[in-house]
Amino acid sequence: MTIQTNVGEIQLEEKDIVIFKQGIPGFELLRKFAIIALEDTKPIQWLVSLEDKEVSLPVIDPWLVRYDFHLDIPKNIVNYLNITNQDKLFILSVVRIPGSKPEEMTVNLAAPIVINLDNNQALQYIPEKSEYKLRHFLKEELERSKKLSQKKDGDD
Amino acid sequence: MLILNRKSEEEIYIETPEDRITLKVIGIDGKAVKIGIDAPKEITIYREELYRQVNMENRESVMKKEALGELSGLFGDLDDKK
Repeated sequence: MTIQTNVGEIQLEEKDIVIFKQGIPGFELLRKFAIIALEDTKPIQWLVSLEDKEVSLPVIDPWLVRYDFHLDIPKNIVNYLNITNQDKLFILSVVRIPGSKPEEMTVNLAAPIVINLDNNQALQYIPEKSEYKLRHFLKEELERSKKLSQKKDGDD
Repeated sequence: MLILNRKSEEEIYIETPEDRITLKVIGIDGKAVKIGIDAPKEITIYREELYRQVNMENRESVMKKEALGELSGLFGDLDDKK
């Protein structure tokens, strides 16, 4: 099927549709989304609504931002998403780009999008307590990650 | 909105066709009320202000691809590694 979205016209198959049973905070009435990876916005991907073509959120692999990012998924989320295989989880962080200034980009590491690729069920997981913030400055994180990865390379 | 008066140690049951959620007033200290919640494992419970922050953050994040601006260089080092 062909769908009009905020990031252009996209080709989708049924298996590409991701279901947020309760929507995502701010867009509770929207259920059907897709993750679109565009070559020209790499490494930013897009979480696009298939029901409201005005809704598209830039997202990114949190490990690209924070080298040692980690996430514990509690039992209630495992049950909610019917997770049977941790390897089939796809984790993304929502990105905020104030006034279209990419250099001021912040990344939400506190409330990641969790998708179970086994059944395409997803949610935005909001932990009651997190060591991360809703806004991590991309620039600071990349510098931090670079230092950490260099340190690790040095150790090896 | 349904409004109920509860004393410390008293409970409220919220029943859905499948489940029961129990709210218990554990204690009251000045303006702060401590509430215990018993709910099925797949139920998610949020403090309203935390949920609202994520809600606002998501709304602020919505943008069109064209508004992204120039990305090149930002991820330079990490791109090379991938």
